[in-house]
Amino acid sequence: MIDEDLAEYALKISKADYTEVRLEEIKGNEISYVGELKGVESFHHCGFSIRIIKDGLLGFSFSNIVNRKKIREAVEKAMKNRARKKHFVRFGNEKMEEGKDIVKGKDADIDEKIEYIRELDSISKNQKSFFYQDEIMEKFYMNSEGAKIYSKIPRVALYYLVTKSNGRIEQMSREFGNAGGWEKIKEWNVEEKLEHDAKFLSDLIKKGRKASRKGSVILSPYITGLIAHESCGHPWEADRIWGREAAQAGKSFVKPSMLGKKFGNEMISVIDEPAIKGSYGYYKYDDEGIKARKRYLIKNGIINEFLHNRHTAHLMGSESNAAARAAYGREPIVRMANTYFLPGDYSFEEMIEGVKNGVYIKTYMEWNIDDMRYNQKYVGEEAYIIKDGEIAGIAYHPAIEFTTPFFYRNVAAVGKNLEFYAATCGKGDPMQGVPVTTGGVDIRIDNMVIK
Amino acid sequence: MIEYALNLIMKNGMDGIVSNEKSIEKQVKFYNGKVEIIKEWDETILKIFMARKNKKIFFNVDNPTKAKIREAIERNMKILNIVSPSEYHGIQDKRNYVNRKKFDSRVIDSNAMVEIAEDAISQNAKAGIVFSSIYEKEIANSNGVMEKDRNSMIYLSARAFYRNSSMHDVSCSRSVEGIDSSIAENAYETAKKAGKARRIKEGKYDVIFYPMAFANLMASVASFASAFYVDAGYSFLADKLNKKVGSDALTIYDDGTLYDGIASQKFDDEGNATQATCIIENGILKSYLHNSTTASKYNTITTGNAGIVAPHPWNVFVEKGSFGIEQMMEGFEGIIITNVWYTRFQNYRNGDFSTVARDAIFRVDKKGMHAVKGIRISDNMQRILENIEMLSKQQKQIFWWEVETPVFSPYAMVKDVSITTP
Repeated sequence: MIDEDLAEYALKISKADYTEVRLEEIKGNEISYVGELKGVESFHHCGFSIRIIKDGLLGFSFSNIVNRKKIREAVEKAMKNRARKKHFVRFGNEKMEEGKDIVKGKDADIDEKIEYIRELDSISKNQKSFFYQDEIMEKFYMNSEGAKIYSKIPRVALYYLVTKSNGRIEQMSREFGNAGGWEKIKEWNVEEKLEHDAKFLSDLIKKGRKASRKGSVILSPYITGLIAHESCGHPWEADRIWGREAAQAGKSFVKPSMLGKKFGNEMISVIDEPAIKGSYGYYKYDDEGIKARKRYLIKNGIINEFLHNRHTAHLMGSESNAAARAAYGREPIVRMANTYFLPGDYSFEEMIEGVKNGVYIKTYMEWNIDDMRYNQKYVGEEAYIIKDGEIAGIAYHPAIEFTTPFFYRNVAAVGKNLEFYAATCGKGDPMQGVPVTTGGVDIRIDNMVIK
Repeated sequence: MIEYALNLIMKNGMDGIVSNEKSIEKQVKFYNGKVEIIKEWDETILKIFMARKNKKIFFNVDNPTKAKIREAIERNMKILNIVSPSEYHGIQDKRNYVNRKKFDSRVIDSNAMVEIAEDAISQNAKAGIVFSSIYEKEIANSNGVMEKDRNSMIYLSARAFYRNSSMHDVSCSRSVEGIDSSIAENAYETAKKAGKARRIKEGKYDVIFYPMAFANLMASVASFASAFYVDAGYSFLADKLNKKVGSDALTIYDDGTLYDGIASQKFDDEGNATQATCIIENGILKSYLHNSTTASKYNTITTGNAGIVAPHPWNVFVEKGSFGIEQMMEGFEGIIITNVWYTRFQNYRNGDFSTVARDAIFRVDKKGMHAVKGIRISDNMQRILENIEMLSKQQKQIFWWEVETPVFSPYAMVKDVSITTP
């Protein structure tokens, strides 16, 4: 039970230039299942975070001992911190919000959840591992500039890895997640996906063959969503651009001077939108008290805006666009929410028509990108060879490596089929995993080297 | 408090493990040559595992009081009644505790941490952190274990830039004295040498890995030795016990008892003694890492690596070789990789993976040495292990944002590594 008076108390006693307090309670369950039930963990954490600015230096303090004495201590500790070579942190004059954000969701008995996974495990004889998590995150946020926000958001997620051994060993993994409760699992159709993956892995082992060395590549929403997140969302994070993450999550090839400049094909627009109801990355207010809005990162090929918190916005002469997010007990930093390509006009049939040689990559396992978010690689798991405008067999792990500008400049067709996939984005130090979705459409790139 | 909880569990006819952890963690973060934020975390968490026959559950009580503990145990007993049976063979009893590790309460002195950060900045570190923690832990279990432990750790992570090139290094210890801020100056000097990077052709190259880079790969190998991940399909080490998985030069231990290992602990999450466990000896896979449950399944004894559900390594220790880094460089032609990140697997079971080379990278050939950019290793982990030719006698403890299990790593020379480029 969150005691809102404690937040009022923190603001009252603080003598800092700026003070914010976040009271949090998170509870939920985790289930591990590998051929049999391996573990059930029930967690319930409560704590408060205080962040202040005093003489230009940020101080952050967290404790899970939630009482007036600890709050007083935390404020005092944050005030004492001193450094000679320091940044002078300032925030802008954004409008502070007062509001509530309550998402409803049903719960189920733990055994119903286990039984659900047991049934999924029985779908094929392949080796499978499942990791399930549900949580309810309750927050009360106040700051010394008038923001006052209560939120309660349940989330539910499932991850699986399936392994097929038949002379060769092949694997596929998938992640599902939503803001909401147990009722969301019906939307995932995990049974269908598992049946599909089991059959595909058998076919891959029997019939997979190398694709041609060069041709057109059609990437499904599953991959382009990840590309939107990794090669647009991350490098558009203003804290990376400013160098704040240089020794952790990395820097960015994007420079402030690129704002408003042409970056890619005009068919391309990339949006980050937190307040998509039911999405895994959902939120209505960020962790600095700003109301979320849709952010066009790329608009018709032009760099339109970066992702900002109040600090980076002030540094770059802009306003926060509500990108400050904090995992439980962590400092709020610039994050994505639900990042997606705006759909285009092409149906899949129109996209594949006329492709002489190429591949259609539906899912991936391996991927990575450098710390500037410039040089990236994706390796297909479910992938098909395209010959003379038709699917002509299974492609065996086609790999593509390209630079970010190459991708955005060489888009030849954008599909109309927008799909969202749940993911957990890692950033911050100590690491903060936050729920996000990656939203993709079919995209065709011509003249790509296929390895 | 832990005795109270354990008594309550045992009175109700259950096995139990109860631990109470009090921790203080601090961080000083700097970038663009200035400190921006000082953070502090203060937590007390009671963790409870209880099992009746083959039903088990694991839960926590934050900032515990007797009333909160009683309420949590009663609530979870009701859950235990309806939860499905799961794999459980009892808690093994292993009490040969070794407690020789260093402890230094000054690691969380904010002034000392700021001083380290400012010292690194004055030696040309552009961005980084100083992170430290101390924690006290007590544990009791239904075998009669009642133990206490305390730990300290601190590390400096510093990245230096020179024009478009960079170099990253870390200094890790259990004490303030163990931190060497001159890594910043050395990183800056290396970044300076890496100006004007060129692209190179894809192909097979011999590679010298610096400890930062090699530790990243070895941390993966050690986590793949967890018996849980072996069973779950996440390991190329599955079905290979007592088989050759690496070159004769390679011996890897997990060791939870190291004097200056920043993850050393007296006991694991079940209360069993940590130890040194040889994972790979002269290239042969000798052991997986176990908790009680996985050890019973494999008909062996726990290696003191619990995780209640999944065993995990504490400190990975890659045995030093006999070569000086200068000897390794003598006549070497190939690529020098100082750091990697985003090591991702296409297939955990066969070990196909790639990882991005970052910071200073050099190509060495008959004409001399020049910097390289835009390359990644796209290879197979077992093939990398098998192709290790030389390990250095210099060794360094590595832990940072990208290597989350501490690794004592030497420099390594690996033959015929597959390099790809965009």
